[in-house]
Amino acid sequence: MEYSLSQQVVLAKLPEGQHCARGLRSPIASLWEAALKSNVAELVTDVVARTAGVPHEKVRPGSRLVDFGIDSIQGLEVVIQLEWIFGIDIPDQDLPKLDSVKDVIDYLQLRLTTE
Amino acid sequence: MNSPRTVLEALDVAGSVDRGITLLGGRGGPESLTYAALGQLASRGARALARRGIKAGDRVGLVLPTGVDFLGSFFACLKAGAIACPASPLQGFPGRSAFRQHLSNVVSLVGPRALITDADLTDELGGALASGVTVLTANELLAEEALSPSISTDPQTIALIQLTSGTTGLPRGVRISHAALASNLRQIAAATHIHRDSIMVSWLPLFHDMGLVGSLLTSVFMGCKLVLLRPTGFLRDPRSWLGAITEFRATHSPAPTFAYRYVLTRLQGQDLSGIDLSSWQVAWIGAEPIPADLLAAFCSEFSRCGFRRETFLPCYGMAEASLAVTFSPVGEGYRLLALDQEKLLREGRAVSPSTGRAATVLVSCGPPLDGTSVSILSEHQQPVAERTVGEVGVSGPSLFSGYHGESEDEAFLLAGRTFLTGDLGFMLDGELYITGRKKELIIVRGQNHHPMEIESVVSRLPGVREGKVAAFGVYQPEQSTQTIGMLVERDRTSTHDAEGLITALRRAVYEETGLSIHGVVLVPPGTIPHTTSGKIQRSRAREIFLRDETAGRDQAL
Repeated sequence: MEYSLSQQVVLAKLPEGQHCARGLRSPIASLWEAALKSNVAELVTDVVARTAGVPHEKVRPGSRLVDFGIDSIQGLEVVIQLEWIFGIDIPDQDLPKLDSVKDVIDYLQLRLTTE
Repeated sequence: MNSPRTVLEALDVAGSVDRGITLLGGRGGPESLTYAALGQLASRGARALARRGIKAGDRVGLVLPTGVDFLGSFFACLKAGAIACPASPLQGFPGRSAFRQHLSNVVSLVGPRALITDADLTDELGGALASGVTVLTANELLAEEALSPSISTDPQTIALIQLTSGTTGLPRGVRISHAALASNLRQIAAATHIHRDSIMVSWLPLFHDMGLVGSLLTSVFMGCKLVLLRPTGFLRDPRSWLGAITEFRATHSPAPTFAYRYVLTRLQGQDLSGIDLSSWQVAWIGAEPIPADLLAAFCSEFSRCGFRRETFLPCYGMAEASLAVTFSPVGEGYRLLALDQEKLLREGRAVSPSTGRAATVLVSCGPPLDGTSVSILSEHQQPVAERTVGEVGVSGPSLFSGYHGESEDEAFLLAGRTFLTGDLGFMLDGELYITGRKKELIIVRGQNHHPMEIESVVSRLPGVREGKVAAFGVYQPEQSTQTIGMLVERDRTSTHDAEGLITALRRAVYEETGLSIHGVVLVPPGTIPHTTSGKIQRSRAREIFLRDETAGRDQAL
C-alpha cells in the first residue's frame, strides 16, 4: 500500500479542522512549511492521482486535469484538498488558470513564495 | 389584488414592501438589495440600454455570476422590452478556452445585439464575438442616472431565451413569453405554498432554469425574501447551503438530485451542531432521476438537524415548460411505488411485484400543476392507459414558444401544442412516474447534454473511424448523477497509441464543450451497434462499454 506525504498531512489534521500549515503554531510548524514547499510537485501529483483514481506515474507535469476525466466538481475537490494541505485560499477567479499539473504546481509555488 | 400578469408587474408590487434579496459569499461580504432598489436599478439599466440603441425585441446576452450585477441587468433587459439570454459566466472549471468556445456558441445561436458582463470578462469576450455585438459592463449600465419611463409589457412578447445546455456545448434556445413565465410562476407558487412571508434559499446558477425561474423569479413573483449563494461556494463547502437555511430560517430551497447526494456524501457523520433544518418546509428535488434510497438516506442522516421526510418535494419539469410540470403535494411526504422489474423493463407495464420477483422502487413526481396536462403517448402518439409506459407529453399555458431559430413545428410534434419531452413514464392515480428516456440525452448534475455534440468532436479526430463513436450517460449511483462514457472505434490504419488517442479525445471534447469524458473504451472497427439505416445505437453501445470499461480504463491510463 502506498503511503504518501499528503496522507501524512491529512493524518496530522487538527481536531478543530483548522488548516494544517496555518493551524500548527509550534516549532514544528516551520518545519512543516519547509517540507510542504519542497514537495509541492509530489503533493500535487498525489492529490491528482488519488482524486482521479489513476497510478501516480501517469500524472506527469504536462498532463492536464481533463486527461484523467476530472470534471468541474472533481477539479474543485483537487483545489479544496490543496487549500487544506498548503493552508491557502485559492479564489474562484484563479481556477481557470489551473489546467495542467504544471499550472497547479507553478501556481502553488508562486503563492507559497510570495505569501 | 389581481395576480401580476408579468414578472415586471410583480417586481413593482414587491417593491412596495420592505423585502428583497440577500447575497452571500461575495468578496465584500453579504449584500442586500430590496425589491424597490432592484426595480430602480433595473430602470436605470433599461434607460442605459435604450441609450445604446437596444430596442424592444432585441436579444441581450447576460454573462454574469450570481450577484447584484446579474439581478439588475436581467430586470433591466425586461424593462427595456429586450429578450434576456442568461449564459454561464467563467467560473472555476472548465477553463478559458472552453469558455470562449461556449460564448461563441451562444453568440452564434442567439445573435444578441449586446452582451452584458463584468470587467473581469471583457478580455475573454474580445475573440469570441462577431462584429455588431456591443459589449457592456454591468457597472456602466447600472450607473446610469436617469430612470427609464415605465412601459407596459405585452404578456405575449418573449421575456427570455433559456439555453438548454447549461454551461457548455451546443445549446438550443428555449423562447419563453412573459405570459408563459407568469403562468408557471403562479403554478409553482400555488403548488409549493410559497407566499410573501416565505423565505427562499438558493445556490443554483441563475443561468439554469431551476435557479432562474424556480428560485429568483418565483421569489420576485411572490415578493418573498430570497437568499442567494454562489454555486461554487456551495460546491466548495456544501455546509454553507445548510448554514444559510439555518441562519435565515428558510422555508423553501430547491436543488437537483445530485446536490442532495453531494451534501450527504460530504457531510455524513460530521459534526453538524449549529445546523437546524426544522424551518425547511419544501425541498424541491428533480432535474434528474430521483432514487428512493437517496431520499431515505438523506432523511435518516439529517433528521438529527430537524429535517423532516415531508419536506422532500419530488418534481418534474424542463425549460420548455418554463420550468415545472408536476410537483408532489406539500407536506405529505414523497410517495414510493414498488413494481415488478422485469414487466416494467420488458413490457413497459407498471404492475406490483408478486412474491419472490425482483422489484424496482420508483418515486412519484406528483400530479401535473393546475392548468398543465400530462399525457402518456404510444410510439404512434396515441394516449395509452394508466400503468403503461410511454413518452411523456406536456401541454398547458406555461409552454415555450419554440426554439430560437427553428420553426415551431420542430418543437410541437402534435396538434394541440403538446410538447414531446423525450422522457418515458406512466401515470398512476393522477401522478407521474418517470422510468427513463427515449431521446438519448445525457444529464450531468441536472444539466442536459446531447450525445451528438460530443460525438461530432471525436468523430473528426485522426485515428478515429468517422461517425463510429457513441457517447452516453453512465449512471453513478454513489453520486446520484451521470458521467459521460464513450465507445470509440479506432481506425485500423491508425498509428496512434491508445493512451495518446484517448488523451487527444478528452482534450478535444473539453476544448469544444467544456465536458470531461469519464470513461473511454476503444474498440475495433465494426463493434459499435447500429440500426439498418446506420444510426448509432447508444444504449447498446453503453452495454458494451460497461462490460469492457475496466479493461478500457486500464488501457487508457
